[in-house]
Amino acid sequence: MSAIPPRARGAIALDASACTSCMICVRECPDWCIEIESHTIEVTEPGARRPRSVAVLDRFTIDWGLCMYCGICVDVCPFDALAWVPQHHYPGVVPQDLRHGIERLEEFDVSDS
Amino acid sequence: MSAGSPPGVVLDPWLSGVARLVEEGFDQLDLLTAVDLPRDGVIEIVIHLVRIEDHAHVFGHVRLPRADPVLESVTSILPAAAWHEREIHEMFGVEISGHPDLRPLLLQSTSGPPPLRKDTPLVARVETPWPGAVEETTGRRSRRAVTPPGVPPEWLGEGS
Ligand code: SF4
Ligand code: SF4
Repeated sequence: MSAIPPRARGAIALDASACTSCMICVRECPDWCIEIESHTIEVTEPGARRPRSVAVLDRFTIDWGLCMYCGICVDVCPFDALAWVPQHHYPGVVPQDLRHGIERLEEFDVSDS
Repeated sequence: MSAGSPPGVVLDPWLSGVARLVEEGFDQLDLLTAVDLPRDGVIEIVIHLVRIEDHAHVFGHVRLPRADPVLESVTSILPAAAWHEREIHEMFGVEISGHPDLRPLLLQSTSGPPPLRKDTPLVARVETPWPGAVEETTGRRSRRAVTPPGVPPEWLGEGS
């Protein structure tokens, strides 16, 4: 069996620390299969005069049962928080298993690609 | 060939045009389908025929008025076209004259608007709340109107 090419579109990995909850991927996805919940906290940097609003990502879900692997979300993310990885083996027993949250999307190994 | 037309020959009238190609040896039906072109006010019927002996192939098409499209059945010369014509009938609302059996092929009921007409609302888009309607929490307002791209505004009900 031939090896899977490193740039294969197997899954989309999330780097939650890079995600700003900007909603761009959610809004551009033609299949409506990404969902985000977030909230804002105030952070005062040392030396800053006023606190800054920072978004905290609470939930990020991709529904692989709907996704058509078009890559638009990866392309539009301004913060490179999404990346293709070649892993493709993530079956589910019920449709709900194909909805991956932050933990599972972060597990995809980006160093592989 | 006008701009935007698919490659191939115009077959108008349809049945005799297809019959002529079949007589030229293009008797293998590969594809028979339709394209809804609302801006032009037409349903375009597309056929792709293959001549096995020399691997030649040809596209043929005809444009029908969208308001009252009637297509002559080619099942008398290409029996395999029967399913394709039933599909065009139920999906695009095209009447097929001379078809032996126009029962719905894939749909349970053909009482609603034809699903593959471009102005037929996609039920999933009307009934599913758009996940992008959630406010972003960056503190900055989105610069553009926050509606789902590619979805006609009249489809968007209260759920979206
Ligand atoms: S690959 Fe396409 S369909 Fe899948 S989540 Fe990204 S934008 Fe949506
Ligand atoms: S576009 Fe990128 S930064 Fe914005 S919400 Fe999506 S993954 Fe996060």
